[in-house]
Amino acid sequence: MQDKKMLPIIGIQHRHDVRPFTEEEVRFEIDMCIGCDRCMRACPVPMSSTVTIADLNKATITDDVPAHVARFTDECVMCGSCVPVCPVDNHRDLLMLSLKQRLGISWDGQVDMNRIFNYLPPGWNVPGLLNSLREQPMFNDPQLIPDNYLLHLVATSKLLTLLPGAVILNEGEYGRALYLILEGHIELFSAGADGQQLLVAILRPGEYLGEHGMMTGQPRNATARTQTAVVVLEVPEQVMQRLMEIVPAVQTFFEKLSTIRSLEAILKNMALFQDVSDIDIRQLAEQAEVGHFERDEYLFGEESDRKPAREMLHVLLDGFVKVSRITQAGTGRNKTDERIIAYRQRGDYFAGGLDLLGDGRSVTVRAITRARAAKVSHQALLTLFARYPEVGYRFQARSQQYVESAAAAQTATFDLLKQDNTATMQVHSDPAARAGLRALVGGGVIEGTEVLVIDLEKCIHCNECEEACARRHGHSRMNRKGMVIGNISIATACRQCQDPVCMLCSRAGIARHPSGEVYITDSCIGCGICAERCPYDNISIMTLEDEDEGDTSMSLQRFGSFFTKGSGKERGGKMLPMAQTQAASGPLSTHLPADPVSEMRKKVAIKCDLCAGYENQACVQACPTGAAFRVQPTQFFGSTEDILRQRTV
Amino acid sequence: MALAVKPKAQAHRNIWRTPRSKASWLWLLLCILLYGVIFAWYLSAIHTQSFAGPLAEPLRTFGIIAFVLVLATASYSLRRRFVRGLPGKAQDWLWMHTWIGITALLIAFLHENYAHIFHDYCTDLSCFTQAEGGTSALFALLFLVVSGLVGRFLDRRQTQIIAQEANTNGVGIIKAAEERLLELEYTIERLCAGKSEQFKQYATPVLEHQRQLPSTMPALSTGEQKDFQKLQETLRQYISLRQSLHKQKRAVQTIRIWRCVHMVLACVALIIILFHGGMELLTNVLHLSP
Repeated sequence: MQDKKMLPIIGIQHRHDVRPFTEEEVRFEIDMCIGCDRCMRACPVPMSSTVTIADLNKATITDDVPAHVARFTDECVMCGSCVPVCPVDNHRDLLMLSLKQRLGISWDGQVDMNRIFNYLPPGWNVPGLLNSLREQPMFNDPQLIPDNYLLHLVATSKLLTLLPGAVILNEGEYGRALYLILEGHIELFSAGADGQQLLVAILRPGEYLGEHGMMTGQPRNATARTQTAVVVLEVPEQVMQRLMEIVPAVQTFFEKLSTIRSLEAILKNMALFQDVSDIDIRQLAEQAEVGHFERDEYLFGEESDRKPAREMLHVLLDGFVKVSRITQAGTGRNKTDERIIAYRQRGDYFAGGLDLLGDGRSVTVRAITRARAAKVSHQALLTLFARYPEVGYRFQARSQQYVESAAAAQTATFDLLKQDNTATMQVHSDPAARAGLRALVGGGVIEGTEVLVIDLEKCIHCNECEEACARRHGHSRMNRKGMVIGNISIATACRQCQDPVCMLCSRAGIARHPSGEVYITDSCIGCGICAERCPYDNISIMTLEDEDEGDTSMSLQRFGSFFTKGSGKERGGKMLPMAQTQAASGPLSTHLPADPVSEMRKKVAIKCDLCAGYENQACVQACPTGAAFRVQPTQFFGSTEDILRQRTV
Repeated sequence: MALAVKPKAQAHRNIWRTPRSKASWLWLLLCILLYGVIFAWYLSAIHTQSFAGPLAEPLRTFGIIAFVLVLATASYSLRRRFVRGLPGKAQDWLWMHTWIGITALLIAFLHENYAHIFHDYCTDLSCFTQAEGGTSALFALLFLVVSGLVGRFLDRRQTQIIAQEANTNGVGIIKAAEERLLELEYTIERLCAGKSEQFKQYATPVLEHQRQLPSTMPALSTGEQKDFQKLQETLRQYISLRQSLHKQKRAVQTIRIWRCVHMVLACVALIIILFHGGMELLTNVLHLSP
């Protein structure tokens, strides 16, 4: 066997904590296996039904790897479904990782050239295509990215030939595909203040578009229209992610680009950096380090080991964070050891680990959603202060201003509604409303774009919403229970988050419509990675065998319910989608479909997609009292800024 | 995930204003217009005719209109239970059901010229069988509408109780409360595992539906004291949550019972009204029956 340290670990972005087995551990685990086959039965990968545990064990410890085992290993998504069912506590997932490592990266293997030849526009050939791709700044080093990787990239992407005037991207729509321009010119437009389309740039071969959506998951920030006849390579998000895993330099390239652009935009808008030249702002942005923080992860803390260096500037690029101070044991909110001071979001900053609260004491900052922060070093700031002394004075003045505000705040009473834009705020200024706002922020409701809420003062608990959902989709995608804030209950149904952490599927089993609805695609195999990642338990996994059995045993109940609940279908009612269909292959798959039985999915993820494709939402439509309705949280509860501006002392 | 924010103030208040259906106002306006027109027609007939009775025009027409309105009111059940593909939200249909139902009763009063309501009160049972069960149909409709209005009031009251409980119990609605109770039961069982008999006996009555913690404190060894404090805290939560769950379930039960009563009344009323309407149609309009 090869040295494990040299082997890359690909396709397990969702499992940062994984530690590959040593050779001894692999042999020990294989010796432990009793061959009961439970792991294979629990495995959601459709073709697991064609692989026996004996084949798999043999392949794991010998060089004899049959083709079907190799394919199964390639398709394994490392979901870990096989682990809890093992009667001898084997870690089959780590054994699979070991096998994956031995088999190597699939992109090192042969490319299906037929796919590429099928795509090639007339007059193009493979060397010409590769030359065009090499014009891209991130692909120009053949040592880093060999031709074979580029060919795999092309084989798993789409080569589009477009006529002049064709729209590639629309501003405001969601999408994560990256477009590499191989030929022709593309115009970028952005909507001006009056809604008119303003030409922002003209992109040429060797340039790319869509990287903002790919990196941040945010809606497209410009409209792209072809100026001439154009050849572009549309690279799916999953393919780009795979390339970034294999070649981290590509990831660094895009991350740096994204960080610089975001930080530049934020710094330019900050009054502190007024009159600083664009070149200097860009230089400052280029020097910044970026940090990615998962939910509940510390950005920094008050303790000496977490405390950042003095005069270091932290700027929030994405996400929301909670600012708190450690209290004496159990004296904080809800008897915790922390007292929440404030919530901060994109564009806010911390100087030297201090929130600009004015008391000069450091704070603890934790991410409440997935967050990204740029760290500008002490040295870079001092250099800027030397060049622009007024910026340094502004920092001092701002600090003084906050000290004075903090002193004034000791005697003032903050009122929730004493703001200019109270029209959007529908809350009363009382402790319950403030507690509600805290829960909305803390519970991640403001992260959503469409939230199903139930007014408990109107809800008669007839369960018609869940039943209507089940009638339309075959299985209810919602649950009425959820966070209760005043008279409002936030139902357990997908909130279509602004930055959905669930969308990390190597098979592209979960995707987002341009209009924002996150939905389960035909490629879903129900591995549960998305469900595990959803912090709000809004995705469930359904075993399709259970669904079939349930259908037959329920016929008597259905007969009985005719008299109590009536009959009739929700408009467009149908069986659970995808229940009877084969799982479509993901964008990374290079295999030809096997026989239909081995492609039949065993499980499927279930989540609310706002009834995408229907003209209305079944739950809202069926509620007899109007208690259930969909809202955009920032509009209904007040804007995020309104919510986050509240000091929650 | 189930989480409720415990407000400090116990007084319940609507914190968030939720959107109201425009259909409620639309149907109310239509019904007021319809009733206004018919009432004006009724006043004109009263003042111009020497005798205004249900068999004479225009009061007979009012009866036919009331009958059609009753059928329109009943169509809500069709949308709610059988033909769910009909356009419009269920709540819009419910508003239609409410306002047209009330209007149907008011027009039925006009059809009878308020007989048996404000004058010519029924003195014996034959009153209910005369005019092909016309009086029975009127009273059936009256009871049905009253049951609907009572139900609406009950709905408001019971939903307020549920909202208050869900907001203050720290967990939420029935489903969440039941799950949390089960978790608390497991916690209590875990705390009791391997403990002395006195320790277990302290928890048993609470799990068997006692509403308060036992007043007598058991004599426990020092090793059990720490877990006993946890047990007391858990039992307090358990009792409080069980009471909240009980209140919520009772409220839901009240809503459901009313619905059953209303539906039974609706079926009976519809049969009586259909009989009266059908027989009147056969005898006085089509002259097919002797």
